Amino acid sequence: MARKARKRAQATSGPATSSVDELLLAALERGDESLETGRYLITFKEGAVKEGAHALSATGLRSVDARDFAGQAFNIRDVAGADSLVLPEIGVAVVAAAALATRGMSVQAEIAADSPIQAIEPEYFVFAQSADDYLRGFARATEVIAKDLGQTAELKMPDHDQEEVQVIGATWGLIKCKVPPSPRSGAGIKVAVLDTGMDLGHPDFSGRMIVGQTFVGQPVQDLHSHGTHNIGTACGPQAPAGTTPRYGIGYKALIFAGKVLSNSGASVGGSVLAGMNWAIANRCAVIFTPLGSQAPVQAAYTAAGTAALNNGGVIIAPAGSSGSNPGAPANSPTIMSVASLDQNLSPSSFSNFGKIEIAAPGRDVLSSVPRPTRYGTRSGTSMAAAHVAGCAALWAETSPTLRGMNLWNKVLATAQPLPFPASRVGKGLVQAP
Amino acid sequence: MAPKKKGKRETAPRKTVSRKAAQKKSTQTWVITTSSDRPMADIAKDLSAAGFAVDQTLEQIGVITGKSDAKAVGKARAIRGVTDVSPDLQVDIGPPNSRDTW
Repeated sequence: MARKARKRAQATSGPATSSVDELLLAALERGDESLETGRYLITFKEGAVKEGAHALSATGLRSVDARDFAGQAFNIRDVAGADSLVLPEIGVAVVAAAALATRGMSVQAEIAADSPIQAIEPEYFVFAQSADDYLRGFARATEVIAKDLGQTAELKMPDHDQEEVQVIGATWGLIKCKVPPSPRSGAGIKVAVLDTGMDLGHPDFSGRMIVGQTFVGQPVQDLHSHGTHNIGTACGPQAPAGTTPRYGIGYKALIFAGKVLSNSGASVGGSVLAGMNWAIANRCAVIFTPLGSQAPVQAAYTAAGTAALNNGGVIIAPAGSSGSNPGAPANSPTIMSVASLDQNLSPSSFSNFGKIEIAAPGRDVLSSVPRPTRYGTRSGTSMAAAHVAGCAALWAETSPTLRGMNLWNKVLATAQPLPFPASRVGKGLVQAP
Repeated sequence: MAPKKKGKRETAPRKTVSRKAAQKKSTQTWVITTSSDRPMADIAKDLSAAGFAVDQTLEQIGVITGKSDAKAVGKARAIRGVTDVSPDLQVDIGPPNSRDTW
């Protein structure tokens, strides 16, 4: 992409007036996890805006003032290339890092008592997210900012079962599936995940073998999040970065990321079938399709399921989260249908029921999501199916005979029975070897 | 622009539109499931003859996808080796970054 090439030429952060996307891409490219945009905010003392703005210009900075525009409203494109952007109503100037450094200003340096500047601080990214992710992002941001100030931050997070589990080092779902004590890793097992693609640069997956293929005319790079989250649960690392608990099962599995859903979450003319075909052609032992629609059994999906079983593969699909009958492809007799469980191991209220083979954790599942957010919590039968796909990879590793129908039977036979009808939970809760 | 057939009722008789454009409007993607007792290439050939614009021939799973209008579908179902012809099913798991999902 031409845009990316241009960003590589500018190794450090862009001018004060870069767009948010440009700043995000630049931060991603320099591997910056600090949530800093690369720009700095200079806060002027009360009443000292005029003097402060003058002082900045006097150092030779190409400065733009919001007052130069009608109603102080401007588009970032109008001010391309300026070193500093003065916002007089709030007494703050946004300054590019390079411009700051060359004028001997920095976050660490002491500010003279008679200076019009009150403070110089790094600018941070802010994200709009769902409630829990926002709080998690906020907690992380305060940790980062507090660390910069040389203090330690203590932020009380809301009380979740998940929080308790994090202390033990793995997500509640992995614990219930008996994954942490398992000696298996999915080593040598090909796991195809047919979804919205993958964040190929996610730090938790550096060094992992990922074969990517798109079927929707967009690059495999996941801009939706669903694919990255599901690949995370099925194949995530044994020891994620920082204090994140373990959230992934087949941490040595060979990942085949097939993008069969676009970045908006929709399939494109036969893309799901094309992905299934590709996974079977690659003889993947586990073919995970975290998708579906409330539709009757589709002959083509059933044919794909049969073909998989005939070629050493098992297709695993979520039953669907509509509180209704399982949708397609899960409802095909040759495809394994997975229901969702809550933390107390009762069927999730949203989980479809009827033709269900097995059940797994699907409520409030923590896993990887695309950078810069990196981790997120989701609920759905997709998350449950991801646990089954991961455990299936571990089972496949235990013996080369556990392929196709043999693997299907083994995964079902070793499930932990639950006190609910088979229409709700199938054979019960999936278990790792 | 291909001339319209005289005396025949078309889907949109009053509009002056090319046949190609008319076909485009009423065509959709179909998914054809085949049995293994006939080479897929032969089935695909018969589908083309029946009016299908064959798109993908998925050898591993025995499925062919293609575009056609409703007329060709009836013909397709009669082709030896074709076990099912269904409309392409759009899957949609919802917008990016949704907390709840399929």
